[in-house]
Amino acid sequence: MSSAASRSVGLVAELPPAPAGVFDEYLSGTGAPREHQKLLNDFVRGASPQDLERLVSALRQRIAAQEVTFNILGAPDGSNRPWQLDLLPLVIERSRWSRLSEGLVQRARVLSAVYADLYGERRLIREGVIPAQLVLGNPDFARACCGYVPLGGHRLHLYACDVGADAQGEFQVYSDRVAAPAGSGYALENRLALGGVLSGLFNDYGVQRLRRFFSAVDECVHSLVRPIERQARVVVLSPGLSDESAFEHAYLTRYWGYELVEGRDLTVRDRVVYLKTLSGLKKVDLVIRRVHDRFCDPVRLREDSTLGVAGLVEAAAAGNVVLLNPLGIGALEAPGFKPYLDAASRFFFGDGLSLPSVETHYCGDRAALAHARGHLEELVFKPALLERSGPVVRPALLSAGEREEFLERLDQNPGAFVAERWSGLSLAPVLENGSLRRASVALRTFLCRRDDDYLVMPGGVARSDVPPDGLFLTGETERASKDVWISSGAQLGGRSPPSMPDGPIELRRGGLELPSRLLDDLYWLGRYIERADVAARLLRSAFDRLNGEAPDDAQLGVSRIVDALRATETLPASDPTEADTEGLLLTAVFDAGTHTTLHGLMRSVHALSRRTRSWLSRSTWQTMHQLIALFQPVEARGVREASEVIDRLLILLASLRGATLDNMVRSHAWRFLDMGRRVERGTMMLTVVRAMLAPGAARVHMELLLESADSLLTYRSRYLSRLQVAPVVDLLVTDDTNPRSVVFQASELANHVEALPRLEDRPRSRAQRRIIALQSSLLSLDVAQACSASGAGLRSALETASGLFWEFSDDVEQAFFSHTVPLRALASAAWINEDLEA
Amino acid sequence: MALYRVRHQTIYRYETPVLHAHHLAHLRPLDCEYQRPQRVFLEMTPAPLGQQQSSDYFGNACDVLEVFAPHDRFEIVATSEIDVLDRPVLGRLEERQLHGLSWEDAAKSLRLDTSLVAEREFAFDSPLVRSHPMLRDYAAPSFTRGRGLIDAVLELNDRVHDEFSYEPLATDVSTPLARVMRERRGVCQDFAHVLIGSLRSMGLAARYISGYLETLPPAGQPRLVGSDASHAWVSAFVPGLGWLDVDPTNALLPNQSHVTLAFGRDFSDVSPLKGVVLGGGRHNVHVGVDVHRLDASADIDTAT
Repeated sequence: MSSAASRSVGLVAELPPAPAGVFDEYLSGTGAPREHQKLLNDFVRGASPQDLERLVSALRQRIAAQEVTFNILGAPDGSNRPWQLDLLPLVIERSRWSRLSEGLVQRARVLSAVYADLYGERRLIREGVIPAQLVLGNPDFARACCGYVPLGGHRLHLYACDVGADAQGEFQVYSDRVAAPAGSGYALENRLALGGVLSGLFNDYGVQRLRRFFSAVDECVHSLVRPIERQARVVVLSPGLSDESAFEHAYLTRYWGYELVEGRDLTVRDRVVYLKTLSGLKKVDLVIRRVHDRFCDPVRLREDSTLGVAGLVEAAAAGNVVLLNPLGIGALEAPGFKPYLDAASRFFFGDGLSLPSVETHYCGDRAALAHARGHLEELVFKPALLERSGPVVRPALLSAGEREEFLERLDQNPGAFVAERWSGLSLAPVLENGSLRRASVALRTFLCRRDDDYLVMPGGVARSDVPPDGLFLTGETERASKDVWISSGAQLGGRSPPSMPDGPIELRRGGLELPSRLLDDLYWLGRYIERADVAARLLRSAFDRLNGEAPDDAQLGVSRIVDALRATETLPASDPTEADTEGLLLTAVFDAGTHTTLHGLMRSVHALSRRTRSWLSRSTWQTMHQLIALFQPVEARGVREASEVIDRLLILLASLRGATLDNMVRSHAWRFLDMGRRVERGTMMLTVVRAMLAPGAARVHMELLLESADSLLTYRSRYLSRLQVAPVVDLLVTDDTNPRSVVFQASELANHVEALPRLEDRPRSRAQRRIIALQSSLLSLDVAQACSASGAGLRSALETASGLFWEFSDDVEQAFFSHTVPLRALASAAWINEDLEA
Repeated sequence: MALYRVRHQTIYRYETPVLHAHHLAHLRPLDCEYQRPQRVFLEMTPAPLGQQQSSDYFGNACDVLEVFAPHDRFEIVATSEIDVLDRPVLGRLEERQLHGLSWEDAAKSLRLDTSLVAEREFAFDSPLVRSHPMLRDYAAPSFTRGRGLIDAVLELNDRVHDEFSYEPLATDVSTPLARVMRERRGVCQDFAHVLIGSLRSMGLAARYISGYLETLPPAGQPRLVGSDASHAWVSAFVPGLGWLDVDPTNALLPNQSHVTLAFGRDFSDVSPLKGVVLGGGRHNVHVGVDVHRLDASADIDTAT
């Protein structure tokens, strides 16, 4: 054997033949790679283990940098697992793919027709094509959505379909996703990541691009809304960061240039949907919802949901908003429909489905139940109606007792179950820890309505080793995904790898129309960033003095920094562990248990930046990402590591400031971010000044104070080395030329508030009056006199100023953010005559 | 014929101001063959900015109310005058052929007769009434083989009345049916749900009816249970006859003493008032109902 063969992973050599009755995507019956897999095979054989490792790590880095994550529902630590992408794409032969595509398009048409019928004439029920129980006994059948034709028609616009291949390689459908189909963002990210890493192979295959699909979605959206006098406002309604696929909501929103909102960003007034913005309500024309039907309207659909918008159903019924997909269609996701779609297809179009459902028996039908009971061993049972609820039951794996118990449940309520025959899924190689392994694959495909037809995304997301009927619903997200490649039949020859369209734009519109919730988040983002900056500077001064050649009075100064850290709540007010100074300072850096340490602050910054991600530039986002990465688990957490972290943190914060100052449009988004920073800088400065200049302050304390406020050089240029309280206070508090002074923050805040829309019918808002009071109290302060004698005058002046800052912050919150709280359901008022506390 | 005036008041009180409230009200009495609402008014304080009257999926009148002014109290008073007539189905109850109809045949025709799809809708699970072995076990003794449907329904109606105790404070709107079954106690809403679930467990169709009872009955007649608030009872589908109302709380067949507000699969479809609010903190709700008979026969009764 040549050395090349032993170096290579040896795809062919190492994989045993596929078991009988299972289709091998990769190897033909003779054990040789299938024709369309040859390029991939040549590539893997030609690559050294080191090459492959490098590519895998490049892929992983790309995914980490994009922060592609997937939340696992129900797992206690399940949030934000990194998304796994296999280096090897699933290559599907062109003719096989076009057969699949035709079947998918036909299926989309049938589902669309079934939806229109169930919410309209119900011929399918009356003529016995679909059992009534599946519709009228279906908790997701939305009666509130009957009796009107939604704008855009009773049509399926966006569709995802989970398919797997049987023993002959023929695809069959395991699951139809029609409510709020997820996953296309992951397909896109997989493509951008893998297409970049394997650009040569990508071009050799002439892989069909995904971009056309995403433009088709945009075209579909704009074909449905054409307001005359302005641009259509399109929002993506996300359940929020806790949703399993929160990543792609932000990702796709940015790709299309829509607006990402949560339910509480929207309100319905007089049957019109509005986005709550700083300048008032803005009409929303179309909602791409990522919220399942039953959560969309807490009054009409399900009361215990805070994800939706009260009145959304009425707005849709009045024809004032388009929903993609229209409400009520989610009922069709019930697995019980699968056995009847073929008959529905014949009923409406005369032909059966060319892409069949996996063999499914709806146990609400007596004959089907009898069949299922007769073939227990070969079938899996699952809920027929409520998706996601209840585990899959495989009688073959149950003990006699368990089986008895299951059959009892089945007989009590047969209409609650379907039985499906899951034949072995096809196999494809995956690269794992440098070696190859065969894994079963299932595939999520995506369709979008185009005129009166459907466009299939040429690709999709393949997942290995997962149950085939819910690729995006299982906890098995450790399992790799695969990009899906369909050859165009021609080499692309030197075309650029897939990329996002253009660069992300820093801010899409002039702040006034941004959702109020976003501004709230940006305000707090600004506060946390600034708080971290102040704390980091204090800590840096402290660690500098703990390191080596500090003068004798260093210890004295450091203990007062600890006081200042306590006063700013970076450290708890009292410490029961009685750690030494060094231990306390390290806690203030690394402890993740509270949200006020540097680590805790960075976690808050990270959370807020994720929420505001689609409004942050890529460079800002990357800086944020690096900030949190500073605190990734490190082995040693000593003084040296702390100093390093602080230095890098300060550099990153400075570059973040640079990025926002230089790049961010002076919109209200910027204004709120900056207001947060100014409020925090002002209050933190007041607190630190009070702590460092507390009675008994010595020269070393003033020096540390000036140093931590980055004002030591300025001071020396004015007063040389003479240190006295009054000039220090003047420079840090009342000098309106020093950008770090308190009064400077107050005047910046006054400017911001002046520029904000007025919410009250008064000459000046409460926030405005408050900040003017603060400004004038500081400007009129006689510093020399206040600092004389006991310093009591100074302390009370600083306290007053602190109080005014806090009140100002409350004013801002109340004036601009009070309506961003979530909706709550009221107790129903019924026969109850007693007062009921809810 | 009886003429009633109904005043139905609901007050929500909030700990902190509500900035925005969105309510859905089912407070306008049903217009049907044995009941004619004459004058119906809804008065709200504060007045809503938006009010849309429409009918729901089942044909009940409903109102969507949107209040945008900050408020710490919301009051809605529905007043109506309703003519209540004799129910035609009651006159046909003794027909022999109806009494010959077994409950099994009724269930079978519901299952197989596609012209009964609309009625069959009330045979399936609904949000608050889901099939449970306890319901089936409870119903079974009254549904012996070949028994007449009407007989079985009436017996079950009496059994719920006899075997469950009426305890106004034992349950609230959120008490699950399974607990009512275990503890055998509750209020009219619970009894209605018990009866509905039991009938459905036999493959029959049953509706939830929300409505009122006369507050002060004519002299010499007992005051009915549930008359000081809104009431609830059940309607069972009898093929060949139609919907037959039964009141398990009072073990009787409703006629002119019952004013119908709305019907649905269970309480969740026809809650007289529900809503969501922005802000508000904790809240409490007060409901008061007055039902007075206005026509001549009432005057005679009170005069005696």
